[in-house]
Amino acid sequence: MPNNLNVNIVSPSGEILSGEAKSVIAPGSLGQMTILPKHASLLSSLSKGKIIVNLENGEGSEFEIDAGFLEVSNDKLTIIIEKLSQ
Amino acid sequence: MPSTKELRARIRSVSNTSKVTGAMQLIAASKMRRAQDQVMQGKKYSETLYKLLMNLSSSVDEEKENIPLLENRVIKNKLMILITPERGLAGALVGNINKKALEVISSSEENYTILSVGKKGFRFLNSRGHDIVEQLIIPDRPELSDTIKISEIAIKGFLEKKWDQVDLLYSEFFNTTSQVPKSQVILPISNPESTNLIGSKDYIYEPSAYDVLKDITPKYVRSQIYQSILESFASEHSARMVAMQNATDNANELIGELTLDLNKARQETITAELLDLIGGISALEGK
Repeated sequence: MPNNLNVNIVSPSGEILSGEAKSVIAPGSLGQMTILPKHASLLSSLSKGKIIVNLENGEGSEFEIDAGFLEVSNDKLTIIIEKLSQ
Repeated sequence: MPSTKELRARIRSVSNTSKVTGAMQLIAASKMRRAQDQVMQGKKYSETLYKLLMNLSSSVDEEKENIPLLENRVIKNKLMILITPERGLAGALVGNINKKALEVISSSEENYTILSVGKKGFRFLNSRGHDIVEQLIIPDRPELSDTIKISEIAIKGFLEKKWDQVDLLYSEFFNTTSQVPKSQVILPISNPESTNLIGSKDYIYEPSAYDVLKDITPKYVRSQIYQSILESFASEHSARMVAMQNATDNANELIGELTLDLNKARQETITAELLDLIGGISALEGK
């Protein structure tokens, strides 16, 4: 499947998620956004909210975060957070 | 030649020592594995953060001066964050770090203030009359949140111009047998002009490159401090494991030598007794 996003969610205590996804919804600092494959290169800060990753196999994963950063480039999406919300 | 009784007592005491060091070795080994694991996990985070920082600093040019943590000013005072173990029995590790700390302090013209993490460095520098602003203890298996206090003190003092440069001195972890004291400047954040990030100009930044860079700089400082603490722990446990392994080996060798001595001494007494007997018999027969 060429049209996927390679998603990595990284925190200081290790990778929280690593895999292929169809889309990712993230709480950007200028408003919620959905990232699809072939997105233009983007670097955004994230605010408090929920990240939803729609995985390739149809499953979805959700994470609550307080803050973080998101980078997309060449269908590689990296989210970097200090910790998940309690 | 000591008597067999004395030799037995010594063997017992040495074998007790070997049991203690053997147990400490096992404990250190299991802690080391966990700590090394944490270093690996943390590396991914700090490397990703570094990549983002480089990307950003190559696209923010003029306004870069306005970001407080990037500000290069005339250096009058420096802060040293000295990370040492809580406990000894780790071979030359503690001595090496402390030696390096003294070296850095004495070779610098500016005045150093010390923030000490871990008792060993604190005692060493305190006894030499250095100015220690804070002494902190970090629990084993630290989380990022355990180390935030350190970065807050460092950043706050930097912004209030209490110090114009912050150094980190810790034990860099290479592998189980090699740990080297390392001194690193963490504030102001140095940004080597990155030329290898071609195409980063095409990025969309939200809200703006400047804002993201401003947000990311304190996180980067935190991650560097956290990572250095993880490495220090991994170094400490590795050094202790190797030191205890050596101690156990030496104790076992000593037990071997003592056992040999004991056997010799025992044989000697038997021979002496036999000689006595034979002498007695031949004296009787000779009558």
